[in-house]
Amino acid sequence: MSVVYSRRLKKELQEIQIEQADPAKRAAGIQLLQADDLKTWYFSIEVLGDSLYKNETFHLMVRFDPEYPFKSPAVQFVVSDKVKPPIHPHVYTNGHICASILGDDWSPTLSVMAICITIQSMLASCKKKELPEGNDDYVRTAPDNPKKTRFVYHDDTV
Amino acid sequence: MWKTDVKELLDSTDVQDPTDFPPSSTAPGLRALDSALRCNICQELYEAPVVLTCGHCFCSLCARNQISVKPACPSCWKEAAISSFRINPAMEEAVTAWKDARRFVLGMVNEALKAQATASESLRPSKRRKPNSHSVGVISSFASPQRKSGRSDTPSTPKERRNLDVGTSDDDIEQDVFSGSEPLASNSNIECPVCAKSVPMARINDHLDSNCKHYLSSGKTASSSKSGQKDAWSKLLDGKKSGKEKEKADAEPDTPLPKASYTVLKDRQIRDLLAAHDLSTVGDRAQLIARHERWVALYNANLDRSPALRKRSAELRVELRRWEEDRRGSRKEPLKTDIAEYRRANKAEFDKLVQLARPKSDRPSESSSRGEGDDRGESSRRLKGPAVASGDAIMVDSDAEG
Ligand SMILES: [Zn+2]
Ligand SMILES: [Zn+2]
Ligand SMILES: [Zn+2]
Repeated sequence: MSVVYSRRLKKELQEIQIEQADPAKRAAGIQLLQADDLKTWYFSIEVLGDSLYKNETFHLMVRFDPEYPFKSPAVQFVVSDKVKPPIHPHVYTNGHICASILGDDWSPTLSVMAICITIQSMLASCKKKELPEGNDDYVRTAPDNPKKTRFVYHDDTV
Repeated sequence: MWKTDVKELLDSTDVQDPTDFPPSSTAPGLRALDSALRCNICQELYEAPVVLTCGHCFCSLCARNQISVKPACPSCWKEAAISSFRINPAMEEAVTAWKDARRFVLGMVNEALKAQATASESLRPSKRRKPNSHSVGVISSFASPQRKSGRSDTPSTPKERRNLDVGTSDDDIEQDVFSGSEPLASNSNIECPVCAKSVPMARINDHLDSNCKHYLSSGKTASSSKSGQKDAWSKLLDGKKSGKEKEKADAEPDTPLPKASYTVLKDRQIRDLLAAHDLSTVGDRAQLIARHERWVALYNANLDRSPALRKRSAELRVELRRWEEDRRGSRKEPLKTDIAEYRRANKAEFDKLVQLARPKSDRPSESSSRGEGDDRGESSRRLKGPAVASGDAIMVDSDAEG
């Protein structure tokens, strides 16, 4: 990533840090877990208040490529022994997410935090816990990096 | 535990952003002002600002990058094309002034807050950007030696300074600066900041202009000791005169480069295009195209600056090279650090030279801008000769800067 844009990423990180230190500004339910470098960051996401995901915590992995911020980062839920992805019509069991902000609707004026908040609200507004159509087929053939998938967005609200 | 990692990552740089200023409840308008002068893509103060047809403003290079991905404004998605960019010199001027004023204002605000806080414990300075440094960091940086030199000086207006930069200053000053330093040892060699090869000091500009192809020194190696190296650079950088001559000889046309239609070009033709601008012609077809595209973007974005603020081709070549190295992920970190360190180490020296130049002239001193480390090299580039210009390009966005 060019130096100017790695500076931008550092700014985002700094801002997240400041916000997390201040309960008044913190986006409730979103926590930076790890950011060792400017390549991969991890967040935990909870949906606070009344929702189908009450008391569940998910981990989001965010990977940046050299074209950030002109291309969106690769974002997926972590699937491990300890954390599972949410059961949601736009979230595949391998953690891949179908959300237009990660594709066509990404803009370099958005930020990683904007993505986290969008995904959190995607969970908050969920009416029914179910897997995406064709989950098994997708998971069997999906590339490692969700950005290589050409998603057809399920609706315009996410 | 993870916090340590994040801290380390952020400590390596001094990232400026609007939250450096207190919220509007404490300092009305300052945050908003700082933010209004920043590009929404890179979050930096505008560089070569351009306005799209929708009215949104971005750095020329940022907007060009965006349009190569999607020909639309990233703020409102209205259609956008490079051919309809309009330069925004008013914004550029505002940014130039703000770069000078920013640190000063920040210092005043923080001193005021400090005074208030001492007067009444209930009024705490607003939270600082670095969670680990807090207000103490701000205040002490305001009171740091660099700061002092800036504050004690009569401030010069950007216009006056710009005149100095483009070389219209009277020769008195330059002579003085010159006589204040030791004579140039034209026979010594220095290490090129780009290719790390040994180059005769007197030829470093030509060497950089040749994209590191020519003027390599034959027998002797570069000054071996670190201090020798720094001395050499210091002499070179102070050699304003040669820089000025160079600038004249290197007058550059301001016609934008046309976009090439690579699909109809053979590899050899793309190489010719590159060679015409003294750019490297090595690599496969994809690399050649990427390099040329990037060069066109850098070159044309540079033309969206006011003439006095434009970078020289040699600088742009260095930027292109860095960009390619970044993409390959094979960046030479030590190089960058060396130059940044060099600049820091020589700050005092620069200031001294300016002091020497001062008594004979009524012209306001430039050291105020020199003292300001957060100018991102902008003013220093304008103040010094081309050799610095090239050196600066290497660290314009360097993490160590600031
Ligand atoms: Zn920008
Ligand atoms: Zn717009
Ligand atoms: Zn070289």
